[in-house]
Amino acid sequence: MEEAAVIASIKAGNVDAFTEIVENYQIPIVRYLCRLVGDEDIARDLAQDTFIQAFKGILKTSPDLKLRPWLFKIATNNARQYYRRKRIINFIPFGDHRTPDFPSQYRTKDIEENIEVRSALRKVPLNIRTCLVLHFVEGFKYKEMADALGISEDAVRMRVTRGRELFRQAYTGGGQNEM
Amino acid sequence: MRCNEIRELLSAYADNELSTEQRKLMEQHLGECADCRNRLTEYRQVSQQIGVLQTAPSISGFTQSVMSRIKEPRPKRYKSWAGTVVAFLRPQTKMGRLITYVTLALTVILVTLFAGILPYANHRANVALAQSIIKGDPTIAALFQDDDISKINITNIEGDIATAEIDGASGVTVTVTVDIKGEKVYITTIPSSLPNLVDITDTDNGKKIITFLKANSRVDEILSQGAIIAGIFQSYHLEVTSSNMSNDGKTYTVTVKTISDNIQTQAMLVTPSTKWTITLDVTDYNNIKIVNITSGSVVESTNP
Repeated sequence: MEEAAVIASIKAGNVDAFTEIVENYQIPIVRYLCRLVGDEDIARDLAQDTFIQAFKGILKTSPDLKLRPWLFKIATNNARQYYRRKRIINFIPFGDHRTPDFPSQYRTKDIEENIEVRSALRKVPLNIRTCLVLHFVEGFKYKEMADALGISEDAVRMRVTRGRELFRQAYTGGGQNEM
Repeated sequence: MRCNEIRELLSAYADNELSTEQRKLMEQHLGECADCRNRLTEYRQVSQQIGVLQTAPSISGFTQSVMSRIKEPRPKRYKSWAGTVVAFLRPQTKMGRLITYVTLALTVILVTLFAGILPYANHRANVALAQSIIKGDPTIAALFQDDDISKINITNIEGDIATAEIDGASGVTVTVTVDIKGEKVYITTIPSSLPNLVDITDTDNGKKIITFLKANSRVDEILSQGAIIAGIFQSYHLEVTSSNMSNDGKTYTVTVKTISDNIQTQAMLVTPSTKWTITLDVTDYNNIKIVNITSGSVVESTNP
């Protein structure tokens, strides 16, 4: 079914039609959140919330809704909220000291690189990180990112440039602390 | 072109996000400038490096768990519910039309009747409710513990707030306001013979009036709304979890919990669900002072 037809069907009361949206977008949304928050379990929880909010919100959307940026917008807000909560909780040192997702005996060169990229990425501030992940991982064009993040295309271009530079600094050595 | 000023254009060039014209200018500049060519290589490397994160995460069981959470709260009803409304508003048959008109006419009659009766009935109900809230209030019970309440006069009701005078058998009158919805009683005036919350008077009929004012809801009110606490907790909402008056009636200890979704990150040590114990000097009822505040172990976290 066409996306617009699926949405129309959901609006007409066919809850099961939403399954198609979840199936089509679960991988990108979970992956996106995982790259933003750095933990698959948390990302899956936030992704569930994202889809449930999307289901509730979809009844109120206009017929020309662009689904992909809209879903990523909800996901981005959830990631932001997660960080806001986490910052408060970390204030009393209670922290999130989860170890990276791979046990050391399984690490290969690729995985090592993957871990380094993730850790460098997490040193980039969240609002810039969202742009890097949307663009380089999820393949969003600037226009689509502007829609998803509610900012101008100029701002997107600026953040991607800044992101490239910050990421590079963090990847080649140090950078600031993870936020 | 000045190299430093065109970094954003260069980055957009690497992403294939420039207009044809801009691209031509950029290519021309790149032909002449080794620095920018190097930077372009770096920019492209970043795309490749971050690109390794495109691997798919595990999503087993994800769809089912989302769909069951969507369906769990309540089964869908839009269709049948909306259908009934439409069938009612746009009847297709003679019988349907009859049902619609009779129902509408009856509704109009009933609404008119109720509109006349309702305020009166509502007032009566609120008077009874306010009286029963006062009777059940521990503060009032403590205040009148050795006296009998002879009469509760509801003098005014506005919205959910009632004003009442409570007469004791011994002749004491206490004025209170009652939050009917919140089921709370706030003492507005107490007799001048009780400035320090402690007084024992023998009356002619041999009864003792008021020995001691215990758990005081007005202190709670001051706590949660008053300026003293507001300064400390800023925008945080408080929930009083327990309160206790010392035996001599001079010190009142309250435990509160901060609750708020609206978290301000810069705000001091306040976290959601922190427990605070506040000790107040209530010797002078009109001038309550904070003696001591201790914080704040986390009793629960919002994100375990």
